[in-house]
Amino acid sequence: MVKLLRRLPGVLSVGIVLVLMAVSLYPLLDKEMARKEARHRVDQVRTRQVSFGGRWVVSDEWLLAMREHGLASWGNIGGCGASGAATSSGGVKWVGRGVTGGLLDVQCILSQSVFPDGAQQSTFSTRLGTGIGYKWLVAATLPFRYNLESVSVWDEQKEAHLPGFGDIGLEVTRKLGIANAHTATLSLTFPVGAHDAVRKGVVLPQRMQLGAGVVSASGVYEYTRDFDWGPMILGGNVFYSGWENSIDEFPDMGDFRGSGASGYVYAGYMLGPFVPSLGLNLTAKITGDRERDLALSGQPMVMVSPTVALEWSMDWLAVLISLSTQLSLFEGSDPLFGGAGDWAPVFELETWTVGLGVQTSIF
Amino acid sequence: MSSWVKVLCCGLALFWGSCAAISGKPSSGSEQDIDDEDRARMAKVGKQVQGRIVWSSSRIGNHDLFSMNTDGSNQQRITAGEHVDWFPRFSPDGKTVMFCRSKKGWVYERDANMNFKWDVFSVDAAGGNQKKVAENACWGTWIGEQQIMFSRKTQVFVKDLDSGEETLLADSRKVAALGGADLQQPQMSPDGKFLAITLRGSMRETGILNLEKKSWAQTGEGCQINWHPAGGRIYWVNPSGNGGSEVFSVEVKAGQPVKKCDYEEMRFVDIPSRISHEYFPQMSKDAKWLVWAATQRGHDHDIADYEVHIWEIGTDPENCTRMTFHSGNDRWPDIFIPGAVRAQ
Repeated sequence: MVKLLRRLPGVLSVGIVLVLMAVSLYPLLDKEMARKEARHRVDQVRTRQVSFGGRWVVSDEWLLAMREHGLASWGNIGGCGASGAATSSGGVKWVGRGVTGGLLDVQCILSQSVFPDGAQQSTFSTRLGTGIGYKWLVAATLPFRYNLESVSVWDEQKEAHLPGFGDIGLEVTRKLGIANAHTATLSLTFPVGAHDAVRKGVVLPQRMQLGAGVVSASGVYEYTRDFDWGPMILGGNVFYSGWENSIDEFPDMGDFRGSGASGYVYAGYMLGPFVPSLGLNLTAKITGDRERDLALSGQPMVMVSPTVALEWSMDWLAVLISLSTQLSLFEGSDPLFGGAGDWAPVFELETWTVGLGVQTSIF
Repeated sequence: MSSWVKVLCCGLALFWGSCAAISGKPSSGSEQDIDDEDRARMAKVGKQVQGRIVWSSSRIGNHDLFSMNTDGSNQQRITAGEHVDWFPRFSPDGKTVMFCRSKKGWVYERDANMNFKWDVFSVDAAGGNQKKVAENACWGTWIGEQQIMFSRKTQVFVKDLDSGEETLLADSRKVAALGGADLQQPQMSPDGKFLAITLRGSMRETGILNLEKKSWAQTGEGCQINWHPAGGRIYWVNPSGNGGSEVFSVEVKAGQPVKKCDYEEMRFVDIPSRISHEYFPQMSKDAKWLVWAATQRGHDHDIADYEVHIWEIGTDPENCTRMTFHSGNDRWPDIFIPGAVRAQ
């Protein structure tokens, strides 16, 4: 019994992850059930083969498509359910109402990530966004970062502090569907932050750097299902971290950040002005990071990030606090660039992240 | 159980309880200045039509019913108390207003179809003589001088006010296409053959139920579907357009939308201003006027700063007239025009 109690935290952690993974599968199941239900209805009620909406094909498929839309995205409309902005930054994601109605949406997120080896990354990210017409959104994000890490400089451990602006991000979002329940976002990150900072002539590791040094890109698709009790957001993200950057001291030995894809699900529950939410993000890297052209062994290649958050909002102000952790499920080295390709299952803590967000819609 | 697990459980329970304890009900808000242009617009409407508007407002605590002339004058509070009074509907003769009332204190509109939260009441249009007309019911509407219709979660009933007899009209659990969904704001077509309904709960869409065939025609994904008084059209709120919502309308024949139309053709009204998050549309009996409420910020129907508007149908929506000027929540207006003949 004592042994069991000692193992309880670990068992609980695994249990929580399993529950969250089950939750993440629910939207797929729900979608399939809705599809079957719609098919059943179409079969039963033939009178529903109506002409409606010249843009769509008048057929059962159209009806099925309409059913699949569910309801409007909370992130993009004020449809019967909520409003808000389902945006994310640094592992912190808005799920609930957010704010709407101004000419300019301002979102500030302060996040603090702590690594097991004591390294810390703090980011104050400011995002300015606005709508263009009914269907398009554009936004720009400027992060200010402060990185702290113990680094080896000429065989001596030194604590390095590095404050400064990170890379600027620009994104364009297209709302899709008659109820705007779907969104597709393309974002580009431009290398503004330093990627080759040095201490006593030694280039700091890329985790310490403020920027990537190269342009990176990502594409995001999101579907928001609006339930009576709150929203559920299902999304996927494909990211390309750019090519190898160039470092003056090592012109032929730059850093490289791996590309990959992630899928996520977030669900919020309306509780008065509060919206507590849970989320799960599963990320897999196709290529691993390389430092000074060397593949890093034992780097996380498949990660899962459970998140718990609480949002509070009024008409013109929304506040969010969140706590997330990143756990490595598979570790390995870069299989495409000289690494051993030796992915191995693990279950290790990578980071803890605490986030505080403020959102307002001004003018 | 280890101590940290206990602490975690206690913390979660405390957090959940704290959130639940904060009701989230809307603030009473305050009066806002009315500029000369708005006064002139209201006066103009008052000259065009001499009617009465009733609506639900949080301006004095929980929502009460208020009424005013169509020029904004003679505002009266016709219900009072800690209950939430909303969804007012004028009787055909305009002498009585039927409305939903929470059984106890603040209740969200989101819980409109929850059992044992609401009753349907009536009150004289000038205030007084309040009567409960349906127990455990919501979304009460008039379908005759003495007949009303209302919802009880998945069921729609008709009640004769003289005899007190209730008749089940529709049950979503017995119509396969409705999948046991909550039936919100049922509206009977003028010929009595169809119900326009907003589905919530297990399904989320609007559509028309053929009462005889028990067949369902989905019409859209928004909410608050209603009939044109002549019966040949429907209108509803769609989550699109300026401000994130707009009112759509399409032609209907035998309970089915018949006309092919694109997005622009379906648009009935979408105010081209900053206050353009429209909800609660309701036409006058003669189909010449539309009242609704709109907000610039937020969405929650019973919390956000919605303002009542009126528009002469067919004119430029830019010329619609704002009728309330208060930072509280103003929602679900209805309009009665004495002597107006039902549109044909």
